[in-house]
Amino acid sequence: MTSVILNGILIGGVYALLALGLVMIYGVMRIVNLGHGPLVALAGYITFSICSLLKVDPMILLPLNGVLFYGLGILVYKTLFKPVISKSRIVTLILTMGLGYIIQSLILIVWGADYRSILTPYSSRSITVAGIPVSFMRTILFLLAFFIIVLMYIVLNRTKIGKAMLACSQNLEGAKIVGINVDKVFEFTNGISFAVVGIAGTMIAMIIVLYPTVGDLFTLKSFCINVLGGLGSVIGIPIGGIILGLAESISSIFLPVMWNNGVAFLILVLVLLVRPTGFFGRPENL
Amino acid sequence: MKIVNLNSKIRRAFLWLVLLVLYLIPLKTKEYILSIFISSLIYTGVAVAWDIIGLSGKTSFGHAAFFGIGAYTSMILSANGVNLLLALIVGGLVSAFFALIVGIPFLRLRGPYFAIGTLGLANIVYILTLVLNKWTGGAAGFALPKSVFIGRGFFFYYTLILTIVILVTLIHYWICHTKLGIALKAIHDDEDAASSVGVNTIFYELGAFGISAFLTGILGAFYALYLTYISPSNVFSSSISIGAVAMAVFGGVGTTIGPLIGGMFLSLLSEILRSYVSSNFSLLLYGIAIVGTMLFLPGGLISITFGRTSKRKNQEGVNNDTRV
Amino acid sequence: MKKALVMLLVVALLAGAFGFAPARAGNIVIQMTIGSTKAYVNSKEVILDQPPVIENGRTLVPFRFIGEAIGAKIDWDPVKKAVSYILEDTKIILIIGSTTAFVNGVATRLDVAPKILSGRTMVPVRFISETIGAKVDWDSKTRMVTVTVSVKEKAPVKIGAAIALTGKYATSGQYYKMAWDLAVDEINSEGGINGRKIQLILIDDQSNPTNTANAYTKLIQENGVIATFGPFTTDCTVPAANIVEKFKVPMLSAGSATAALYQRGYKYYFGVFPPTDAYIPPIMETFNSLKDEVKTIAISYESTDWGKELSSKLKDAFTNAGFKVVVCEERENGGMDYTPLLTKIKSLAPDAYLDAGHTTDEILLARQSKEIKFNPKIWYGGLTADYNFLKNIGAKDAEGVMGSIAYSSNAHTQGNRQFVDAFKKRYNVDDVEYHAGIAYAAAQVLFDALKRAGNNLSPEAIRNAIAQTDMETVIGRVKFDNTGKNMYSFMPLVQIQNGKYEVISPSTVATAHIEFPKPAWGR
Repeated sequence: MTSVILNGILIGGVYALLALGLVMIYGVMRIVNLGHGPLVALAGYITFSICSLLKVDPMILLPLNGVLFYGLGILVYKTLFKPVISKSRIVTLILTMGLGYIIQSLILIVWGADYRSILTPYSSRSITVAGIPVSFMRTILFLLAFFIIVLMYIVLNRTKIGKAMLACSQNLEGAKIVGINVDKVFEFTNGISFAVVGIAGTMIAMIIVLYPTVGDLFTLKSFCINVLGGLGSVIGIPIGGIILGLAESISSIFLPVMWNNGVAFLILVLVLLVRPTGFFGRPENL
Repeated sequence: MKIVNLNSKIRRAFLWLVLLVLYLIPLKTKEYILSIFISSLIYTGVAVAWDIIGLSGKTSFGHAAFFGIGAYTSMILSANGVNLLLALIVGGLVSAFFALIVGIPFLRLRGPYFAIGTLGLANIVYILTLVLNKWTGGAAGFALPKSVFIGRGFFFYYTLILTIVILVTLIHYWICHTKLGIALKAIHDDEDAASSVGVNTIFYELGAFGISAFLTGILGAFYALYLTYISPSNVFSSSISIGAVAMAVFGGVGTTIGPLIGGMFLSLLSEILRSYVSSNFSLLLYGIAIVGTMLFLPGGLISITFGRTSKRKNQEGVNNDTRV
Repeated sequence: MKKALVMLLVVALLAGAFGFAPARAGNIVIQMTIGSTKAYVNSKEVILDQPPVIENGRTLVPFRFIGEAIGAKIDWDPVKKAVSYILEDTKIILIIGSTTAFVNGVATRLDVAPKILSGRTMVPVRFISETIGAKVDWDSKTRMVTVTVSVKEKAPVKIGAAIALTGKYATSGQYYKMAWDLAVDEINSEGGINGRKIQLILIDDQSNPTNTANAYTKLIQENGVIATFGPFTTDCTVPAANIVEKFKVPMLSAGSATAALYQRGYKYYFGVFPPTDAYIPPIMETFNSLKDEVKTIAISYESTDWGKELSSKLKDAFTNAGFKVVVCEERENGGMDYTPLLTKIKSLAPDAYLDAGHTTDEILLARQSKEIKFNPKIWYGGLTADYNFLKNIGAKDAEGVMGSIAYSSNAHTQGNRQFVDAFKKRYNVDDVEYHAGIAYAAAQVLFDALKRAGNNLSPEAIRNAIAQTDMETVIGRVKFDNTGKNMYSFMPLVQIQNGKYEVISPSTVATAHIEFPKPAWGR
């Protein structure tokens, strides 16, 4: 039982890392980014290519992809998001869906349809925590997720731009009135969100197998967690992630494993019915 | 829905002409073109049906649930000798019944919570289908004998689906012009305000949700009886749900014709791209077409002729339209 | 706004133009040099028994050589001492020692008579060539005669298929295209089927069944294909099979390994892929020999028709043989985390673990088994016998993993060595993936059937020819029973030892003994 709980928490951390890139994009800009999954996958593929070409350790890609994707985030905001977010949210939604297709097809064109894995000496290493053998890599991802969440919290609450982001998130009109440059805030939000996606993708690529449509799985899980925790809430992410992870792990003890996803979604639905805006979501964040 | 400023008699005659042409197409075309139209019409129909609940501002990402329930119901009935038409209708009714039951708790959710909630719902139904494999066949899928397909022919299927989609469109149009439609619009604009002035929001939402599910269920039932083989991962696929939304938005969400032309356009575009362009690039072009249209025609295709459907002016920042 | 749409359409059209494959030129170029036994047909060297000679200013060449080179049907009448060529509607008769030739029955005068030299019949090359409308060039410096026959392309033999080139099945679907492209090019360079080239038309169905059905309808009606290959997965195959059955066009499938498909009564559907029954005998042979050490079995399977079918057959086979199946659990396919499943199974401490799944999931299952230190005595993953598995796990971790193999690039099967070399060279890969091997076998069968179907290639005739197939291919012997199933399919049980796949069962083709128990991951 303990091993199940431990595994549930660890995979919850992985899921949280996966979902982090969405929370600010929704929280501040109210964008539901359906292209999230393919972006994560893209980061993974880039990591794969650079590692196999230059024979370097994937960890080096973490800052690299972070910076690369930050730039990508700025670019995407300026060219694609900015023109539409003021018009209609559902139009933005479909635009991100189209963006997802574009990225997926680019992955297919550049890397082909084969499976790719990033293999390092420590890829499937097992470590023992409290007497239970668990995945070394998942533990690292868990810690990384924790680290990024703490970082996010600090940025949001202690920096000027972070506070501006919070202001936009809670009351956009009010933010404008007090003179916040909303455009700059959005740009920054998109940039660092994409950067988080880049970092998450780099790490996650190390524990899964990459194939062109793997992004669909990421998008689904990420949205579940964001909604479960409450859209726009940074604290909600680890809560949502861990609940999802635990639900999957614990349910598999009593029920056939195939029901896992059903249980996870059932919990999501039940939470929503009791708290229609997720655990920490606020109605004004709608 | 935008009223076009044409002489209404001319408009009516034109519509009858179009209908006549559509029904006579099979006489002049090869069957493979009919097969393309049939599959396009199925997905287009779902887009129009989806828009019925979309009118209220509730964006469902789980319509595949209704599609799949209709599909499985009709398959199971057909395998037991029930005739086609009845199987279709019962498929729709079971979906509608399901929608009414889950609608009561679900319709309390707003915006993206409703969207992801319905997505979750579709997944739960998918898993249930796998779990109840004694009745549904589970992962192995459900098949009807090959003679069923061969016996019927493309002409039959085409005429049937065309009729279904026309009915769906008419129902959508009718709804827009009745009290239900007005109520849905009011809910879309501001749900709280609507309910505070006495609009029975839950009643109207349930009604729309039920009708939307009923029609989607019939389309799913048709899909099953056309392919004569379904599996859970096909009929409950999220691409059906999200595709319906995309088609409606692409064509012009909130209108009757919008989802119709959006659906046909995207389906036929995808088909043409795959036939004439190498496969990797066809997906790329498809994505570019969607992004491009959202950037330059945010009101959907319909805004080319009818002008912008969105009355909201450009504002810096975010549109607080709570739809998603 | 409208401009943007127009631009998009233009981009689309341009891309479409680039997506088109260029049409092939159809020329046969024959080069012969006076006095030399080396001749060239389309740059391929041919050694002649008797070199060309000049007589009376006319070049004479071996009759059989020039006839075959231009693609004519040749005949020799020893009584009348006459040779004849038939090419399309032209019939030429030449008589040894006579300067009168007959073209379609009309008498024509030759400048020089055909003669026999060193036992070979020699005929005037310019006369033959010009009669069939070929161009003849003479280079007096090199004394080389060049004959260029512009092949009025005989109508190609059209075959078609819809496969997943995008979408969730693309990872496997791409190998089908690679194998078939190679097979088609090979046979076309050998002259095609009875002189007609094969034209393969492939449509991407995006892993979506409605698209598959539409694609086959289009292929049959618009493109006029007379035979088809099948798609990869069962959910796409059933609608496709319905279509080909309706239009009575044969389908030869290299995919869909469910036995249930063969019970639908299709007359036009044939499959070379081993169905799930084929997995069982080799597995049971090995397990039965280990009855003392292996008592409990855990099975898991992917949530597809194939997974369900295979796992239930395994379960029945094991139970009937006296083993205890402690769990037979369905799992999602294409997931990220199988740790709950593996933890559950580990807690039951089975002696052997078998999973019915595809390579992607097997990779994750193996890695995650290592992470939670799940070390059963036997670890079997349905389709791990694919070099992609080895590549993505690493040889050290893969040691001892067992799987079933439908095709092996090392197998000493018909045509395999050449196929593997050609495939590796053309696509620059380390090894040949098993889907490619099976797809190639399907091509071998279809082309063989096309050759046997006679000159009048109708779908019906092709179907009957396929039904009578009995030949060796790269996956072994292929012969169909009356449901269209390949009755000789078998799936040897293999094990990865020292980074290589060794066949363990059946013992008749085994290359090594089983490494038992499986060493702990990473040793």
